[in-house]
Amino acid sequence: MGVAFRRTARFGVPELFALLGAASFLAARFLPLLDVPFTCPFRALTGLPCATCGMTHAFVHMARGEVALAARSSPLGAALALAAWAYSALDLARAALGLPWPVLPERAWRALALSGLGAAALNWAWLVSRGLA
Amino acid sequence: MLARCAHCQKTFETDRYGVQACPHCGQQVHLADPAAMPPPSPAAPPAPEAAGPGAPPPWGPPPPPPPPDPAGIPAPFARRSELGFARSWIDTWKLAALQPSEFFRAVRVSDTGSAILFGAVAITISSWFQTLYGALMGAATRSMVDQMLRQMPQAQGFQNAWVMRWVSGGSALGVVAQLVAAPFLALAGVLVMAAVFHVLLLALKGAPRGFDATLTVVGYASAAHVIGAAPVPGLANLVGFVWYLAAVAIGLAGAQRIPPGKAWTATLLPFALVCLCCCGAVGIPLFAAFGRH
Repeated sequence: MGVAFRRTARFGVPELFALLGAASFLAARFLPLLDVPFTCPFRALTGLPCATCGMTHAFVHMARGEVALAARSSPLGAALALAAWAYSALDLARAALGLPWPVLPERAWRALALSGLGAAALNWAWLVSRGLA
Repeated sequence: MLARCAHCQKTFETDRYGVQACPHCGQQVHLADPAAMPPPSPAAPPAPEAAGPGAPPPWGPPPPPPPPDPAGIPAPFARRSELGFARSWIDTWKLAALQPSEFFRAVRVSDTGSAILFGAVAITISSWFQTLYGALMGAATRSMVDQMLRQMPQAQGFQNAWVMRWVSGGSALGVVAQLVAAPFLALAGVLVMAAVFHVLLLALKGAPRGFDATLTVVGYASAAHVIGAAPVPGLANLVGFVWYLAAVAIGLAGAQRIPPGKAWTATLLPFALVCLCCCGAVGIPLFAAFGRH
């Protein structure tokens, strides 16, 4: 499963995703997202958290450096925030320096996708078990 | 060399190329010089030699049409610099919304920038109209939402002036903020939805043409969101959303060259979960209202 590198345009789709990640950090850090009184409809209906419950809290706590609180809100959310912001920083630096883009084979992407779906399922199971406890 | 007249179809001997008179009928005949012609494409049959007995003449039947470009045909919106922004956008809208099967099977998937811009424009138009409708009908919406929120189990948390202003678009500042934020949220929406669909396609082994194809489909299929700009708030959104899902599923099957079953599964799976949440949001107040009477 080797990684190839190819030259890409200085600003393309990967950089749009990087900007999106950077924007999520700025929103989590500077906007009063936790003051919005939102209750998950799924939780209100069933009493159980949905698969994405706690993500906003995780992003906000991570942006403030409160790692333990972020992981307690949603382990997947904390990991996702970290991954998104690390990707943003690395890709924007790569684009600024004009370095080539690493191209993963399709098998690697598929493994990542399946890992992500598995992690989402595990995260949901953890949230539900915590809610029931 | 032997040549044949295009008019009387009779053959005659000549030693030069170019325009000359047919010795039988006197009509002007043009004999093209093979050395001056462009080289044949690899897929085309070899060009006949004009010289030599029995060789077919250079003015025979027209050559077969070139094979379709394997990279696909650029969408009209990708040619907006030559067609004009509005015309190319409308032409692409017609193709993506009304003929998604043919369009997404043939469209070039490497023009992702055009697809993202197209989708962002479509969603932004819809958002702007919805914001304006919300502002116009603010009072009615506010009272209805207020009524609904009071019946929610977490009523105290929802009775917040900030939320009410946001929901009803009550303040002018709120309306302006929504109008300004709409293009950025639309752009983020196209990217995030493409990523979600693509993760599911990868898990189903349904992404042989890569993320560019998925992103192109999501961008152009967002054409359907424009239906949400119709002055029938609620219903127009629902119709636009269902149309969008159908266009995405049909488009993924065509652009990724996968069976329709995989495309529909990847499209509907995330929305089945969201729908469950939304049904809960609508169902709770209704359940509470009916339970009270």
